[in-house]
Amino acid sequence: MNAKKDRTDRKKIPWYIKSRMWLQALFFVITNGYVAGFLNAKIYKGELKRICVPGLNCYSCPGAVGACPIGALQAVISSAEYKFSCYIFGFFLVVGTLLGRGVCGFLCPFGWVQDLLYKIPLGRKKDGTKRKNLPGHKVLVWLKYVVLLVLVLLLPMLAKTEYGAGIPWFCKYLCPSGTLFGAVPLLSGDEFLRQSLGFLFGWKCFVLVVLLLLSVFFYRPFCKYLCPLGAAYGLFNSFSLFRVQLEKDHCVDCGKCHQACPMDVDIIKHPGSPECIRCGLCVKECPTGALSLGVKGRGEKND
Amino acid sequence: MLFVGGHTIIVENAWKFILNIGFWFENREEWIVDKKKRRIVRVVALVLGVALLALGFLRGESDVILQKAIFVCYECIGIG
Repeated sequence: MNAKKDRTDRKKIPWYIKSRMWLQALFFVITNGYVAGFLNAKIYKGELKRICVPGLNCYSCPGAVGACPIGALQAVISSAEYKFSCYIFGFFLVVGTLLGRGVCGFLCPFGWVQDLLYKIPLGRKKDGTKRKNLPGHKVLVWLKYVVLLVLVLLLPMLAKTEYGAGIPWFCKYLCPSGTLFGAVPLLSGDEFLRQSLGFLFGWKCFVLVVLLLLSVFFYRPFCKYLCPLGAAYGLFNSFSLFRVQLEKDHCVDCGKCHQACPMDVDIIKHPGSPECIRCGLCVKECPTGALSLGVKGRGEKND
Repeated sequence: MLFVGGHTIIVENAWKFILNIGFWFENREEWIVDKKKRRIVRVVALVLGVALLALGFLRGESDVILQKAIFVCYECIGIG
């Protein structure tokens, strides 16, 4: 009886895995809750914008009530006063240690958009499943570290004018979140801004459209290959508090977890993989309940 | 030819070096498998993180962030 109950308990899916998309939506509403901004095409100017939100949420989104950590990092290190940002690195250390890339799975608005697009029933293979990865996936996953190092850190820090000020290279030339959540609502309500558009806006729209289209056919291409925030949080995956945990005694090596994982992580072999976004799909698919997602594993008193 | 050969050796060794970094990176969780070590690393990271956050606030970095965030970031929205 106890063994049967134990097996049944192991297979229970936690509510936060079942409700992940709703949690993502809720967090989007909370971090972009300045409704007056959307109505008037003006951004929030309050003190809350000193505080970074965990996900890639452009602070030029009219509804944004907090700052984007990648934008904030570039703002500080490209300023004349600072070359290093204690605040943002401290933020990464705290959030990364607690959640790792669980931020990507539960709290990032652009990740949520990609999740929604992937649900569109286009591009299915003959077996009914969708492709997970772009061709060249194993090499492309390293690109986000190059984006983090070059566009987010080195160029804003080093490429400065004679007055000591730099520009946010990632935000300016690549970030699709700024285009989608910032540019689109602001430009739709401000004619003056629309008159100032040029080549740069065209380029950013091109990047956004390509990523949104790719998201329909492949899972989270921006998160896998380009996102510097995911790259940064992934560095903490091997020891973050919120993690996928494996009870080896109950694992039958069926491979269903790897098949189910949209980030293509073999969680049995690489439990601390920097690609794991803690979406919990492997936990849902595990037939024996050997996998769990949370702070403590099933049957473990502490970790 | 010697120069070309030397250049090839450098490129091959550089590529092997990069692949080794990649191998270490993918398998680095192996050195934090031990729960006790993981806990120690977490505590150190959290303490360091909180200390850096506080230091960042004291240095005035949040003022820089605020000054950037309360004005429309023209670079972010594609105006430049």
